[in-house]
Amino acid sequence: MKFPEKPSLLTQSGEKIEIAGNREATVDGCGGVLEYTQEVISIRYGKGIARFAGRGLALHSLAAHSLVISGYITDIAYASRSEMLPELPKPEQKEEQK
Amino acid sequence: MSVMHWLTGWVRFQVVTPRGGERFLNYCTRTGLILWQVRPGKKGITACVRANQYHLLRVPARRAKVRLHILRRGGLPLKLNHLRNRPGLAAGFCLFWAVLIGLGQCFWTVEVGGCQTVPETALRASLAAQGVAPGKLKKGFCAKEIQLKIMEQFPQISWISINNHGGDIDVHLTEKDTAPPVADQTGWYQLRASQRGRIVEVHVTAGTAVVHSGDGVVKGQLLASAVVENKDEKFMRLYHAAGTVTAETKHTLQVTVPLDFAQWEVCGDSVERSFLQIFGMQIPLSIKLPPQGQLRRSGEVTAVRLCGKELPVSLMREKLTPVRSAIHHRSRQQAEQQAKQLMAAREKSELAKAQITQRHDTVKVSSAGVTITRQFVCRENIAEEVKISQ
Repeated sequence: MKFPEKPSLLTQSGEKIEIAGNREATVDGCGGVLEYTQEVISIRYGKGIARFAGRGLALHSLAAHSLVISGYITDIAYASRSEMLPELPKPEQKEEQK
Repeated sequence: MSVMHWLTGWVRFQVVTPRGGERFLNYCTRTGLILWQVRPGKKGITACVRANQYHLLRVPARRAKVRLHILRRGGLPLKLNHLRNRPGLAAGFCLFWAVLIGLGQCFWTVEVGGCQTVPETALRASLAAQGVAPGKLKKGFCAKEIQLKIMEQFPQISWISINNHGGDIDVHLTEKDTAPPVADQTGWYQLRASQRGRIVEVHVTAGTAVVHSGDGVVKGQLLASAVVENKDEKFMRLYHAAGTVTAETKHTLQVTVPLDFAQWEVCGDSVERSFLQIFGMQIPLSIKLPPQGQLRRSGEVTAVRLCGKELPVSLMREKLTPVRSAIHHRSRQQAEQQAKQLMAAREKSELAKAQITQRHDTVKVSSAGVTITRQFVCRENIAEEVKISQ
């Protein structure tokens, strides 16, 4: 019996993000927490930075290389090394955009 | 909080720092500690960690220059720690299970149903000898084996069932019905006299009558023969002789009642005692000692029931009355009256099938007592079927 082959991307790298709707995100391969508030959670992810923005964000669990972010996620951004993360939209700007 | 967290115990703490606690979280994860329910707050980040890993947070906290403040603790280890200071509670818990398991190993109640002629007390005693009684261990209980032994001891039982419902034993039995008499159709019978007398009427329905009205017969004399002779065809044939032969018979019954008789009489104050029976063990509820001498014992057992179910607890009340044997003297009239009562009872039982036509009493008084001799003249069927062949 031959087992199905695993996706090559997942076998090669240890970083992986799983998002369940906009309420929960599971991050594998996290290098550390850089910023942690109820609105923004920034983590070291691979060779860059990942940023989760939203409301009422919390770390559901925090282990050595994985974490689970729960809350109302509205924005996910990633910046590789030597790149800058885009600025977060301010609440006023959000209203203007609307 | 999951079951595993509750089993391992948990501590909710607050990271007290003017800056964010992100560095502390990173140090924790690098140490290999697992945090959950990490929530940011105005006063600082709060998180949960296993109770036995809380002391490992000191190193990351020192390196991150934060202070930790315990908010809440919970889980099984914490409950066990509480119990360490309360040995009575732990002992009670252990005792509860020990009693529960211990009492589950023995019978609680034995209920017997269906007894009509079989005495229930004798049946219970027999069951107790087989190991089925309140308080006896259930180990080695075999219902089929006990059923067979009980049926051997009580032949009048036709069917018995012993069911075990946990600690309760239900015993149901059915007693044998006496089989109706079946006429023996095999072989030949003749009629013989069961006692002496003078023949009054002869009604022979099968066979040949050899006596007539007015004949006197003795016990065992042939009344009707099984042989029937056919004179026309000149042959004989055997039958099952049947019929009734009414004769005038005489009977004599004698009853003697002594003038002096012994009787038990109360010779002191009776003592009432109460016992509590639990699993067959008697626990006295009173400290009264039984009176000296010979005692007459009477009492009652009240079983405690809950929702119609008998419990292995019963209350026994016992009354002990001291008695002694005393000789009493009765008058001639009293003795004669009692003798007549006894004679009437004997007449009713011994001459039940006879039609009494005459009675004649003879009363004799002696030092032994009053003797009544009653002579009866009766009319009764004296024909008795006697088998003469197979």
